[in-house]
Amino acid sequence: MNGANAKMAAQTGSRRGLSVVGVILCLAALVILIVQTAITTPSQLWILAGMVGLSFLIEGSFRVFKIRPVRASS
Amino acid sequence: MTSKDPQRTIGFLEATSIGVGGMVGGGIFAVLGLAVTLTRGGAPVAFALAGLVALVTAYSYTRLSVTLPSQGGTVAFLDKAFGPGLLTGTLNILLWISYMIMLSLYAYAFGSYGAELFATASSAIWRHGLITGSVVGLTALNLLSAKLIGEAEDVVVGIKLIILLLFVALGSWGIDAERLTPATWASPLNLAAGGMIIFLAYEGFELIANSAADIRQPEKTLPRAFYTSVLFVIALYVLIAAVAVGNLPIDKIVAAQDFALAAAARPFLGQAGFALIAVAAMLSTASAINATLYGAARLSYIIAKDGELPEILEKKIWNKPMEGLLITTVATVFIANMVDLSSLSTMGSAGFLLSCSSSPP
Repeated sequence: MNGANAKMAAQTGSRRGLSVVGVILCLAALVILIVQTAITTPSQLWILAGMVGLSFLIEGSFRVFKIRPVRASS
Repeated sequence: MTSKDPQRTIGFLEATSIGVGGMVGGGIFAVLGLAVTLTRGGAPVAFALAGLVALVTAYSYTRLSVTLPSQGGTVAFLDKAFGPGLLTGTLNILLWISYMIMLSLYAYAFGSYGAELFATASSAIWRHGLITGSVVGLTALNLLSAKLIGEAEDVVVGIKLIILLLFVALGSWGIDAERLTPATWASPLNLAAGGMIIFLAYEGFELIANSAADIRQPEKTLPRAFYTSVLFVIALYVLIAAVAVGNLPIDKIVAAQDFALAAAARPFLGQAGFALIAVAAMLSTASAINATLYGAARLSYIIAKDGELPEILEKKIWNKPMEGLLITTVATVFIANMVDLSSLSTMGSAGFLLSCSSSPP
């Protein structure tokens, strides 16, 4: 969401810098989470990768096999 | 519809209560023990760190929902900013899966607190029974009478807040400050990591954005509602963690990790306090399951309408996205019975952090 607002800062009348800080904070938090998980319970990383991989697979298959035309949400 | 339109029915207090009710759902009951296990006496600091990330993200949600009021919330913002590309679509599906993980976490907490309340000898059987029963039962109730459940929801939000504030007010008298000193904290990396693993306890403030189109004077009300709700919940979580750590030795909280809030009430409220918090936890997690079930089903409907999920998920039966609801229910029952609390929390927080960052592809 921070990335979305940073990109649309002019349109939403926002301070882009603050949303960029948000992106950095969220990504840093994610990296810390992954590093800590890799150190303590590496098996959980597989579950995490599975979750992201499954999302990518579902979305990718819709586009590769052109199952349905994709349109922007309103 | 203009900002003075009489159809806009939500004011500052209602919008703030949507945010507070969304956050103080089941997360705090589920992850308090995990936070103490990871960060020891530094648990209040971990909640404050996670809250800071939520507060900065609330700024982006505020600006986006003032400019682009839409029931689509997160999905609509991502589509507007990045277009309906592969990464946006992946993030949208990931959001749906994250909802299932959150549901599983709430169901796990419901089962854990309930098993402690009802049984001791066969608590594992009770826990799995309660996990499955809560998700299936609330799905059925959702299908039968969503209106009745919606009305009960408001009452439950009030009850759980009163009980949590009571926990803080009574427990603060017995805090042993020695247990909260930096000497008792985990290492800085563990402190930060602990804060991020429990980040999902702040999931829910973004629900205000879904109501943006119905909010009176959105330019003023939305920022005030977002910041007030996040700041209030940060203060509440920090105080709850301080009361828990200050009243009960850390090793005892760790031993009662899955039902830590109830265990932390025992020193100053006795067995009755344990039962009261356990009941509050079951009520809260049940209401969180109910709200998230509906939110997840609606999300699957919105994504399907964008063409990113099969057409069947776009159909409504009895004006409800039935297939999305049933898929969510089946997946939740499976995940909640198979995955442990720590994995659920890591997955839920990672999904939510990815959604919060949503950096340009």
